[in-house]
Amino acid sequence: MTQPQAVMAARYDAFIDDVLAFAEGRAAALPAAVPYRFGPLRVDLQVEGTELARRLTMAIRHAARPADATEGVRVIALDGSACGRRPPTWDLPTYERRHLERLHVSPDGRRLLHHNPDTSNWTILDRQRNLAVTWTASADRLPDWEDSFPLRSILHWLSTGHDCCLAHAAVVERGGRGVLLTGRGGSGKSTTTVAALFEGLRTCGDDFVMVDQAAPGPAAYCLYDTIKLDENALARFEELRPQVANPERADDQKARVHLTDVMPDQLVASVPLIGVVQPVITDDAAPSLQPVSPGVVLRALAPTTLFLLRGEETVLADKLARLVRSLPTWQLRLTRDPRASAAYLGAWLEGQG
Amino acid sequence: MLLTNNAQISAETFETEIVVIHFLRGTYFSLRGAAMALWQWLQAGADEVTLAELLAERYGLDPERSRAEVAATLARLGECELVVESDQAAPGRAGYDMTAGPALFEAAVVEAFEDLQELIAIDPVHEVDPMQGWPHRPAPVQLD
Repeated sequence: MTQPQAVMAARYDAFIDDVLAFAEGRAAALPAAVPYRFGPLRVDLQVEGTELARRLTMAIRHAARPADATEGVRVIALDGSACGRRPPTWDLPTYERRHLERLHVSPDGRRLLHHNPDTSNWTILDRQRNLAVTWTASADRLPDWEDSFPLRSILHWLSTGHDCCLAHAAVVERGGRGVLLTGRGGSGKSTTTVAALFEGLRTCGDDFVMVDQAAPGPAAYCLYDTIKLDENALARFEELRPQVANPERADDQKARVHLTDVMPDQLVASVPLIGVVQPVITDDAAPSLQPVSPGVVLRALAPTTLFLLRGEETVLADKLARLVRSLPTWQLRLTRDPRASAAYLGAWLEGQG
Repeated sequence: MLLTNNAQISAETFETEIVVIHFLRGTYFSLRGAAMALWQWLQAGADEVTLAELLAERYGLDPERSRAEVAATLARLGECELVVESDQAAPGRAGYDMTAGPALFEAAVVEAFEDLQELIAIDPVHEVDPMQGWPHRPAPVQLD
């Protein structure tokens, strides 16, 4: 790092120090933190503002736990309209490529910062202090995806410091055995997951889950209870329509259903993984599972995960590759009948014991 | 010389392909055939001349054909921003894996997948214009 860069880096540190100090000052007057458990991670969340609290916790209610002896990461969420101070605009130097994306990672990897100018939102993690802050202008301005996947950046950054990582994937389970369903939006992942739930299978997440390769074997952990369905998919499962949490959504927004409200017994905190499966929509008469190379499955899993998360990409890519290498990989050839495909997958999982 | 663009990509080698993800461009790639061997030697620091020698030796190719294969593959990798120019010196012949790539020669393939680029381009999580909002991208910011 050159001398001018060191001076500019110090501006980032000073800014982060200011935001953390402000957040800790506000938090002193807030209700006690609520502990949440996501696999190996414990997050102690304090939120300023009732609307922000509602929006940030709707999808993680299932993960609230009584405090235990493990050390948690303290997360303070601030709503500018509730605390009387709007988050500042970006006024930091850009001396690295990632700064153009409003992303800063300190040279030692200890501190991460991201700014979203659309929501005026700052997200900061200080690993050494076990402290994270998310500071948004107003809970009213938060986009819909924050209801579905709150605290996503913080959970991503925290997980890469452990054996685990986030994956843009769904999980379905039967008989204590689960598979990770990978694929970009539109690949049939959510439809298959919901069909599986109607066939009696269980899940620990539909869109983002945490995966962990620590002993005793690969496992997935539940982050969010959200299932998002487009209108075509929702029409297949009309029973869910009365439970949609965003009935007044825009035309291009997906319907959001929270499993805690709809099928709480079928949402589980963790699932041992026995494979990674890439669903493929076909015109086949019957569903089938066919072995496929891990490279094909990594192409279905890693890019979509990496492109939806910011920072720590090389660590994340390495973890996803290790996961794919450690498990059998298949393609699930879906028929036009999701329930039939889900029933087939359920029977197959049951038969793996 | 050209080096793999390690700051902006991740690469994983499998039996029949190397999966490369350019996480700033939002593209990903499948490298197959001779491109697998060339990529691994590039990662080990081989320059263009060395790559041609290695490829000729590995597959018993005519030197001219080997040079043409290397030149075309490097050009393609450069287009895809998977390699970058560097003034670093090549490390020499020792340490190159002469089992890299398929056992028999297959022409280099660098297949690009751009179907997820919109996640980078307009995903509101990432970057939007502060005045116009999603899905408008902000004006480019210049480095200081």
